[in-house]
Amino acid sequence: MRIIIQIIFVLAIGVMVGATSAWYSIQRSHGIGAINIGAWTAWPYSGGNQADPYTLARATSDSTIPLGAAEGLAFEATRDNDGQLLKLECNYLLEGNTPKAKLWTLTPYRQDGNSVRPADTSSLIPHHTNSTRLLRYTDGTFQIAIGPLPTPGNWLATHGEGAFRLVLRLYDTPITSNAGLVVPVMPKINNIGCTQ
Amino acid sequence: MSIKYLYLFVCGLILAGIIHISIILLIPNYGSRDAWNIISANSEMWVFNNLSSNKEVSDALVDTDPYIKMGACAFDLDEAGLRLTGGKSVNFWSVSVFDQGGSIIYSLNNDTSTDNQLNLIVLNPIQMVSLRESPYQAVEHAVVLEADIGKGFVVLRQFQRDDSDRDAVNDFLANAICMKIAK
Repeated sequence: MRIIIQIIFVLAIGVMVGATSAWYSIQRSHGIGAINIGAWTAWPYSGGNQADPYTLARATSDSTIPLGAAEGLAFEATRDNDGQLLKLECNYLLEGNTPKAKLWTLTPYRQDGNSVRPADTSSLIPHHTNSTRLLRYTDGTFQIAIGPLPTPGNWLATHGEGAFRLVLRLYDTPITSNAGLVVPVMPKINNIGCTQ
Repeated sequence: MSIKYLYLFVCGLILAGIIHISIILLIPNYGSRDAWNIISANSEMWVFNNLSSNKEVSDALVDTDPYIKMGACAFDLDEAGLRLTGGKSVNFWSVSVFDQGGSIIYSLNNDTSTDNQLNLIVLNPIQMVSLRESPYQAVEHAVVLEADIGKGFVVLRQFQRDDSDRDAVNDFLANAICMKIAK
């Protein structure tokens, strides 16, 4: 009888700790192979056949189609430059420049992986933006206001409440092929006040 | 007694490690929410499918770029080689070739292609040998890729700047064709 209890004890620890840690490492950390620039993180090997097992498990369990090296690279930010979580009820200023790319797109996503959309789908208010429709300063840098309050210049509207993620996708960018030779610059994300 | 339970606890942790590694390694093979399952469940093999206009697919996929329209087709190199052709487009477009596990074997964009024309051939090593022996015209201007895989899928992405080029983007995706070659 005692041996059975001991086996159950070992099995319970093994299954619980093993399954929980596997789930956690897929959901939360995917730090292996990541590059961090300021508030932004990218996983340049997420789609390639050199992808590490954690990245591959993550990519195949969350219903995404990763970008290939010749296609582009997606940078993701969940926090601003002060380390605070990005919130839909706050206004942010994205400032600076991006690494070289043929084009890039900027999209805010909710926690569930759907992009932040207006309640009225016929709305023309911009809820995502791209590099072809941007006002820039003479030195090529730009500012994009992100938040619920309309702002002159480049404005990306958000609405609702709760945390969100910003994804900046660089298409046809050399940083996927010569990572390490150039230190890419990414725009800063500064909180300029919350409505509540 | 306590030493015995410490021993059992350590055994449990070793088992946990084994289970952890097994889960991580098995997810790509047995997961049901990956791109291969979503694409193959919603389209026939060898048929190019506009994913962005397919509601079931676009609901199932997360983290999609609103400026990118996607199409895909599933293939099986054990059956035949794949040829993906389509029209020309000046908008940015790119193609990735995936194996069944969701790893990208190869990717290219419109700068890699000849004259912005979509023309890609994917062959396994055996089909490649027969192609070298008797090159046929289809190979001209095509990007030929050797991949030692069985089943897989190709994903075509195209950038849609705004509503004004929606028709052009839809035409480009509608004109893309997957076909079998070198059976």
